[in-house]
Amino acid sequence: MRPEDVGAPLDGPGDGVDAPLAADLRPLDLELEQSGARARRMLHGRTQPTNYFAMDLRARLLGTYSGDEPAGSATLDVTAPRGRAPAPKASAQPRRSETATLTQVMPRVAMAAPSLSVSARWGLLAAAVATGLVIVGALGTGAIPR
Amino acid sequence: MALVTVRRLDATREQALVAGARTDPLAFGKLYDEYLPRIYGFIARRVEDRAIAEELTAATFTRALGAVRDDDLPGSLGGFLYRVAATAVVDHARRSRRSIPPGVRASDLDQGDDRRVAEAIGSEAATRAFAAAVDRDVLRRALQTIPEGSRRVLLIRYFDALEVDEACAALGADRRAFTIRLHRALRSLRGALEQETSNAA
Repeated sequence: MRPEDVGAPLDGPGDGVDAPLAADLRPLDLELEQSGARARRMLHGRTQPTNYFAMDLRARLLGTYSGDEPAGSATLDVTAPRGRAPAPKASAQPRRSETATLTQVMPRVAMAAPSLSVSARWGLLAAAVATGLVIVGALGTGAIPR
Repeated sequence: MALVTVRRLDATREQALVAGARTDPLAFGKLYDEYLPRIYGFIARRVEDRAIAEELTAATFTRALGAVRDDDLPGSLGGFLYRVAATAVVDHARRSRRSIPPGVRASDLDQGDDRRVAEAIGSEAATRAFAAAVDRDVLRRALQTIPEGSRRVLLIRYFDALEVDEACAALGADRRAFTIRLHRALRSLRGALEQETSNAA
């Protein structure tokens, strides 16, 4: 804005604040209002924040009040794809302000955890390999008739 | 001209929430829930990349939270948020033009008409989207020919449909100056429209 704008007289009636628009500009004003409303409708989906982002940022901002580590991780687990959801921390405790959210979230997070531990998976794999070798060996020595 | 619109959050209620939000996270949470869709929308209409829009939105609310907790909020929270968001968009445009080290304020490195160019870049996407929704070809073309400053005022008024106080904050103007700029922008557009119409005839 140029300095001379402040205090300059309007070209229409009124005192400069919420002044009625000059009559010759009203059709243009109306057309632009309608265009603006149409443009906002066209962009509606793209200009709305995702729930994931909204909840994550909310948790991070509110987490600063208690001086806690940013609370994003607990909230991120809510909407992240299951395949990418990390295992929950055993020591995670809900903060007072977020109790309702965490109460709903934690069972879903727990379900995303792997059902078998890593060592159990390797044990099963080793047993399968050993069984295969025994069968091949038995076939080779004729212990099992073909 | 219907410049006064209904506030979505009562001013008294907002002031009470802002006062409470100095120490109460729930109070800030209510303010956040109220303003997030509007601030995100304002930024996303100017920044087409969702990740960048989210980054700028997060920076805007982080700044607002700091101001609220330090009791350092000049004017209304809505006005402050739009002002910071508008600045964040222009700063992003500056950083997209050249490399600026993190932690350095982008505007400190402005030379010549860098600010004007950054503002133009910052409103390019909004201008495109708004123009796409305009029915008349001549009006669409006229929008592209008016000065950048006039176009910004029209975008704030008609595309973003901000409340007066918020529009003033976003443009860094008081109410009277905003009204004057809006009248001038409309006159400028009408002149360009008449020119485009005569060219088309």
